[in-house]
Amino acid sequence: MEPTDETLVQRCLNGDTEAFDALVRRYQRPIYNLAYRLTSDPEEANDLAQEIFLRVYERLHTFQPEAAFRPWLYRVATNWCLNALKRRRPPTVSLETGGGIEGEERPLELPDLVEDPARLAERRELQERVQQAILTLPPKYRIVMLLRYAQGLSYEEIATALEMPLGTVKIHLHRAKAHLKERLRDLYEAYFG
Amino acid sequence: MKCQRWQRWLPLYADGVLSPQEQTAVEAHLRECPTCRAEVAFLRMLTAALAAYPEQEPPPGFAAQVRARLAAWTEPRADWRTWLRREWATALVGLGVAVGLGGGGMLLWQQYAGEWWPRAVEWTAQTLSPLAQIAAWKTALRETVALLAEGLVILRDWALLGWEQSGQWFHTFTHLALPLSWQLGLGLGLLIVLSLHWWEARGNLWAENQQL
Repeated sequence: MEPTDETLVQRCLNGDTEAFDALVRRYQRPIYNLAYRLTSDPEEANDLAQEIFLRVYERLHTFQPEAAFRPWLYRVATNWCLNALKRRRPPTVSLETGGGIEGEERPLELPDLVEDPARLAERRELQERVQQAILTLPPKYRIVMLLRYAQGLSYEEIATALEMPLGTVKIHLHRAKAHLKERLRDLYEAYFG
Repeated sequence: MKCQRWQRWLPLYADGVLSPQEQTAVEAHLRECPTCRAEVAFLRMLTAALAAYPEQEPPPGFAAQVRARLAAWTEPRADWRTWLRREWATALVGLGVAVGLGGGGMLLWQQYAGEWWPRAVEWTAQTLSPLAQIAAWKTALRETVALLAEGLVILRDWALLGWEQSGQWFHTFTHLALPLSWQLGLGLGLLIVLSLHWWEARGNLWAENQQL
């Protein structure tokens, strides 16, 4: 049976570096993906994700044993990411094309799938377009959207991770979506308007 | 405009986080309102597209890289004991040189200082004019103060850098402290020689006055 996160943390605090290694292996995928989706740059994401784990190690003694590890991990990660995003210049993203897929410059052509948004969302170019639009959001909205829809955190977990009231999480999500609707207006009007 | 009041509910409805009563109310509105239905469809498409975006694999060796960075980061910082274990030969030579210089200096002092010191005072008094003596004294004083200040700066740096940089102490000793102490010694020597000379001259003058 796999040891729980909290057991591994306790072992880390007792000087067991193998336990920290196990935590890294367990969370490397979601943390790397969070960094990747925030930056859209593999190298930067790699660096950012590594720094997050170093930061986690450094802050491990502040973790309360009775709390859950995952929201705490996301708290450290999001704080670190927000600071990193503040330091870097905003990305330049073209919203007129199909997104960042190599060689793809034509406008997005979508069939009439308004009745089935889930099927529509399966289209790779649409996913890319949405991901590019995400990069234009202010970091605080970007991170809330990714925690909710890319990482699958609940509203409560996001509130814990970002140390903000539940109401603020809802407001941030609402504003982020309104912003995205504006950014993807052509898409909205073509298929939903 | 009648949809305005529903706008804040739609994202929560699309997310499935409303209470059953709230959900029923929103659905009743949606049945009548194609605009809000489209809005919900758009929101669902948006969030589904975000969730469906393919997951990226972390680069190969990611965990090993974190481990390596962590090892470099948590490596015990070099303290004087570590330095001594690594550079014991240098330390031994340094100690030998210090003992040799110190011992030799003491022997030389014992043997010659008795003759050298009064001669130096006498030579200074005879060679330098009173004005030159004052100028030399002032220069020596200024230099001594400056060197003392420099010594304090070095001490402060040692204190601030702490043991982290203590591996450098031998270098600091040979390149900074030793030359500084020579200069300090010479400056102080000149200062003392001149002061003694003046003290002596003042004593002679006082004795002459008494005789008169």
